[in-house]
Amino acid sequence: MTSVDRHKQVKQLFDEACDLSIEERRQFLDRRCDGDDSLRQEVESLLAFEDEENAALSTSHRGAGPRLLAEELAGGEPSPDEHPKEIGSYKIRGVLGRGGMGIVYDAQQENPRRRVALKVIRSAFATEELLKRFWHEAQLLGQLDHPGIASIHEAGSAPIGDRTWPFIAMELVDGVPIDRHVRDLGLGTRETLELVARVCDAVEHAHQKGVVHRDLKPGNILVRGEATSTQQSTSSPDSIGEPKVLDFGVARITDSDLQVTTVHTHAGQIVGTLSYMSPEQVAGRRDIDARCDVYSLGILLFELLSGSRPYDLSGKPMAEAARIITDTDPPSLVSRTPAIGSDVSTIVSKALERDPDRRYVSAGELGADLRRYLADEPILARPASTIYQFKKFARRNHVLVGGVAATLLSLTAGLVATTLALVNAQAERDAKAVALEQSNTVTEFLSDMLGAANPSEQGREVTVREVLDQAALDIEGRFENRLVEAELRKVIGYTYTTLSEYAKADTQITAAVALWDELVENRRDPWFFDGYQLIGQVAYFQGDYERALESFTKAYDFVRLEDPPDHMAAIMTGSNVAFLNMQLGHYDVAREIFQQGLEAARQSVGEDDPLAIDVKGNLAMLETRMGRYGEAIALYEDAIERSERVRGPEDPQTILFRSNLGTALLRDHRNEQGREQLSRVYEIQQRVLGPDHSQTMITLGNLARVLGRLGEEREALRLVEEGLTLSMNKYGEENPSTIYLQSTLVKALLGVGETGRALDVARKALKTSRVVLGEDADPVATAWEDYILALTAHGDPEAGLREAQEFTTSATETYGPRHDRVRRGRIRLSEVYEELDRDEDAERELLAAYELSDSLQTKEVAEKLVSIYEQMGRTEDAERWRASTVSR
Amino acid sequence: MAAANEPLQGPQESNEATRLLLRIREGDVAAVDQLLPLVYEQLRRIAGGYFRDQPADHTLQPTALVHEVFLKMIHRSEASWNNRNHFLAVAAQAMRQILTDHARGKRRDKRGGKGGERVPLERLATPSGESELDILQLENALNQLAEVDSRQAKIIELWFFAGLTAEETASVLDVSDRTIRREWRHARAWLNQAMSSEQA
Repeated sequence: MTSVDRHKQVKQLFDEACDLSIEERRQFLDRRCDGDDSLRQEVESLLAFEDEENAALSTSHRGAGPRLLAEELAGGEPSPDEHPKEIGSYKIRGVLGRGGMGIVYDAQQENPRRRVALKVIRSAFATEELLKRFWHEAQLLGQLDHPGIASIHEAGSAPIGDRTWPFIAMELVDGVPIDRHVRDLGLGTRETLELVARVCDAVEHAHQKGVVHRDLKPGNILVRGEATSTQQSTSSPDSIGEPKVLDFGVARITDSDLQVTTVHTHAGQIVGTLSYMSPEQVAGRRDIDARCDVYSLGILLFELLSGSRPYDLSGKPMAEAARIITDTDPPSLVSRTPAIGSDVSTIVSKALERDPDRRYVSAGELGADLRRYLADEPILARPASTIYQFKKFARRNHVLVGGVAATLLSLTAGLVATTLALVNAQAERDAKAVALEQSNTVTEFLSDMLGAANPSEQGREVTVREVLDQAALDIEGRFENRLVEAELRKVIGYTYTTLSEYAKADTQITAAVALWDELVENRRDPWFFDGYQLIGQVAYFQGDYERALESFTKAYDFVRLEDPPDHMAAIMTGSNVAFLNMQLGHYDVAREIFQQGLEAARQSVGEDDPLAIDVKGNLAMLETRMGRYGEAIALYEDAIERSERVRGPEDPQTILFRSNLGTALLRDHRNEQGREQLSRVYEIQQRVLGPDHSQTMITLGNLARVLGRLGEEREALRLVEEGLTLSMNKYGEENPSTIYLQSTLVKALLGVGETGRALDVARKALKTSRVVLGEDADPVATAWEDYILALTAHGDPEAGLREAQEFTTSATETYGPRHDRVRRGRIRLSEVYEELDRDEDAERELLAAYELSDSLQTKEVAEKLVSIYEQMGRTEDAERWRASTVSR
Repeated sequence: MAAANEPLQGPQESNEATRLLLRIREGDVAAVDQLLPLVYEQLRRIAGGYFRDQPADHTLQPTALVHEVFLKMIHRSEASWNNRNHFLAVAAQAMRQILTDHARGKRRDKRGGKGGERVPLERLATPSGESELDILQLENALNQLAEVDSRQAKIIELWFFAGLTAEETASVLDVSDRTIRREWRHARAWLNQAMSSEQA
């Protein structure tokens, strides 16, 4: 029996035995172990560990890893809870509570004789900085003097155990938490509002002294009222009660502030604290001010008046709870307790604004508005308008979809204006009335969208996507003026594109353009240009290059007729058209348009304009793709010269051109020049981008290749192995940059004769790159060629031949018989044939490749022909071709 | 669609974690190995930050650290529940690695070159303060357990290092809560036995 089976067997018995009583277990094991003593012993021993309370790993260790790490990093252990009998001149009577950083004792002071709450910092985590803040805050608190604030008697330090610890002695408040007080006394709305207004008075006092509480919650606001008052109070204890706010400032030191370090944390505690925290606190912002207290008071009001807090955070993990607080708006109070009336609800909403700028500035202002309501005066708070709600919606969703909502907002804001202008133009006679009607319809539509965007009762977040989906459904036939519908569809469609929902975007934009086509007679309306551009984009992103090209061409035709001409738009649109033509293999058309763009730039913005330079760079790329390296190189050189002047020699775009120039030189086998460019690019990229940046690695790969070609194989191998390690570590093996470097490694390994390793790497690189990049990608072709080379070099030319044939056939089928890939395929074929001593076949492929080579590529092929003719003993032919390599 | 780079384009690092998670969800085990170093680094960075640069009113529950790493690494809109569970599994692994590395480093320091001698290590008091746990012992025992029952080892890893509940663990491993509880009970006894025999 294997150890795995044995483990299973023991586990099974253990499981069953666990659910039995001790007595039953014995019988059970007697029966089931059936004389197998060692099995029985194993199970019994395990059962003993199940029962043991003090086992090393106990049930309390859930999540112990992060806690342990926290303690490790803090560099200490929490101090043991040995309670001293005395601290300074205070006699300790008991423990009132404890937090992460210390303990609160119930203590007796001798002179004057009184009970105090003694807060002692006692923690291995009390850093210098923390203690400094403690003293600072104790000093601030000393200045607070308000009947609604528990006063501080003394701050000092005293030895406890073998260390001296700081403490503060505070007024010990006799009362019950405010929520219990309101419940116990059954206070009505008006009384509750007055009570909270009194809390506001106290908090305002602190705010004026520059002290922010930051942790207001029922547990920190105790009330002495009729029900709880046992002794005569100084100020008038009426039926409502006299609140006392505890734990200003210093509270945080003993309470939630550094709770990170405590092992006593329970999820519930934290969520309990989170419930009253303002969004800016939850987000961990440092610029917390009085308005966070206003927010906490808002939550308190909401809870006291409705019986529940606005957000239901119970049972939610902290991250989720935090997200709810920061990303969703609280419901209105009136939605929970309709009887409350809109004024109180408005006041609470204003206190609970997620944006501090929209809240009451201080607790005093909140209290004042509460009292205005109580005195039947008009309150200052105003319900948020629809536009404002929309802004909030945009803000909320901003986090979720990054910028999309902002886009939606700006587009929609412009929409109303657009509509008005539109309607004015359409109905001149009664323009105003119609405009008003239309803008109302649009507003209504928008508020419906907003309605959908409001968090539902479960507090679920509604995304821009859902709003758009709803809007897309609702829009059909909603507007009498169908141009408004078209405009809205365009907005919705555009927003879909920013969400990468291209199919949905397509539907909307296509419908919009169709409406426009049908309704607008003026074909020069600029709207058409936008529409074509948008359709072009969504088609492009969906991979429908044909349709994209068609639409971009419409836009290009449109913009070229503009009077006065819009050169920039024409050049940009033209560049799109040319680019798509290039993607579709219409190289000649692409070239013509790029050249037109260059010409237009020359005549308008000048050749030194960045746009003109980029068009030139694109044209150079096209020339490289067409295998016309000479033209490409000249264009790159010109673009680099200008770009260096206009943008600077280390500008990313300049570097990009230089790097592409290096590639073109390499493809053209102008190795020395290529090496010079690439070394320069590599040096700059290492410095500017860092050695493991993907662009730097690509250059490294290119550089290694050229070194290999120049006979510096060892150096090439060193470089590429170094780069591959970096790339693997940073990006992993399926990353394009890694794949590219692997291919380079193959060449380097072949260069030094390590054919076995070369073959392994090549096989793997080809397999991965096909999966990751798709069959047609350029790096896949390169990896394939590597594989062919490696197969042949490693003594399996038969397999190499099969691969080379397939390579050439598939290139011919995909790109046509005159493509550069076909040429490369034929060269690979010739190499394999040569290895197989099929010289005639090799000759045939080389001649075909020569036929496909342009003036700069012929040299490489001619050299190969010379070598094959020499092998065949056809010296005359060899001489003839040698001459051609020289003359070229 | 303007200028393009002739050679290969670089990867988008910011989405790296999201992309890897997606692959993990699709069952690509290799992606875990790629995500691990990212999480490891981020955990170390954030855990360090908790103590050096502590914003006011910032609290930590056992899993908060891991959650924070998750939210930092994963784009908000991608932070689905499903992603989160897979992430927690990787985070638990990373956390385990950090703690073990850390403990080994300390052990080396304490040996001071003498070698061989056993010294007490990071000891974690349980909330009740009754027992102590040696993280390297746990690591050893977990490795032994993984040899005979890798799922049990995984369950303990998720529970101890990422603070997952039975329900959460069940969802990560795609089995029932009950199975998790049963496996957990046995694994805990097994580990305690293994650790106690090592001490003896």
